[in-house]
Amino acid sequence: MTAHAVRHSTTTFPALGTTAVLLVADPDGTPDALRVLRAELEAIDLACSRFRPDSELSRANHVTAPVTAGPLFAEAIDAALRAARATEGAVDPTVGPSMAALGYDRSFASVRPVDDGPVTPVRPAGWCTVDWDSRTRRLRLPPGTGLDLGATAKALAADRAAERAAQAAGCGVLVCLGGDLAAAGPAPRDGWQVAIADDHATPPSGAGPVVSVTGGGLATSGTAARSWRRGGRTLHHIVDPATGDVPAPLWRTVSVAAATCVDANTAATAAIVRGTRALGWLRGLGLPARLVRTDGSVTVVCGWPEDSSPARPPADSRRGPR
Amino acid sequence: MPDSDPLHDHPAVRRRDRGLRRVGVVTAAVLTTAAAGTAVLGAEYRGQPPGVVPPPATAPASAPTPPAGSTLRPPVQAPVPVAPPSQAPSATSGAS
Repeated sequence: MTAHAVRHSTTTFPALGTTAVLLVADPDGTPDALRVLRAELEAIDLACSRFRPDSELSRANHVTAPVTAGPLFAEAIDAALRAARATEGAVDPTVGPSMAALGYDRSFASVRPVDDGPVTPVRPAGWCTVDWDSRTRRLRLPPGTGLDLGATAKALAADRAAERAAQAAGCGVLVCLGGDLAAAGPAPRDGWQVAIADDHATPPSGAGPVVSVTGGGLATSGTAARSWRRGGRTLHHIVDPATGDVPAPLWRTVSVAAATCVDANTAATAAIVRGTRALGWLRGLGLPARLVRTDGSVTVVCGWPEDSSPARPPADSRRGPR
Repeated sequence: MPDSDPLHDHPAVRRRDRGLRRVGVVTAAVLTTAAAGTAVLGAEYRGQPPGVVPPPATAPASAPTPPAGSTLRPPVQAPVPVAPPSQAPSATSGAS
């Protein structure tokens, strides 16, 4: 590093089946912030993982009797149901069986990249069928229903970790979990510089669009990552709850800034599902967003900065199952 | 003719008159309130576009009850462009 290099510290490590990045404005606060982040990630994984048999989510999905959720699991359920209501069901936590029917029924690293077997979409039961009392934290799922909190739990972890880590470190912090990021505390003078890409694993080179954020959440959803092939079709991890199938291809990648990472990720995922109706919906909510069509053309709304260079085509280098 | 009607000055008659006045006042208040309420509700329903059903006062028993504030909130400040970046950005937001 030179004398002009960034003062903040950067820590990167694998977590939740993806990559966690922790930026701390004052490097002296890094140990405290990192301790908080690791504890938060472990807690959210134990509460909400779809692939851990000992998680609260797995237990709830495999019993028909009511269960009492722990405080963190309850917060995650609240966040998921709020997302469902705010998106009129475009982001629905009951898509678990739909996702499994499409082939994403195990950790993504274990998903078979290609399978010629037929795909039969399964429509989810719908979030309104979830019997949930947030006051007593009592949850009961109808038979055949399974929760998948993937659209909101990771973002919730980013929000919670950023707030707590900033308090612990006594300075500004940015937490990025698989491309979903939350910033809390005083940001550096020029803000946190964030590269926008189709895939969160793209090295932050600055070759594509770069924006500066000072707080709140920023999330990107897209179809370029976590995709696989079944029955001659390319599938991915975003399900349209109305059909149980992947949505009609229109947006390749959608990035949204919001007050929290949960809101940003909810809006980004909903935009992919809503397709042509996404632009008006985002404008109505006043959410700054950048939407990239499958042909690479870009539309920005609500104050998201225009690209200085056109979006690059989807990367040919494919990671993991496709 | 006497100056005052002895029957009208009787205490029981005065109590009856006071009671009748109270009943009249209460009746008028109830009628006014009902008329005002009818006018307000009528105006509200006239304002609804055809085919729009007002939301029920309470959610269906089977629907979950997420916490209040079910609207996605915009950020305090929209992202600011960084061009050209003075150094490599520290994080990447992309699909995962």
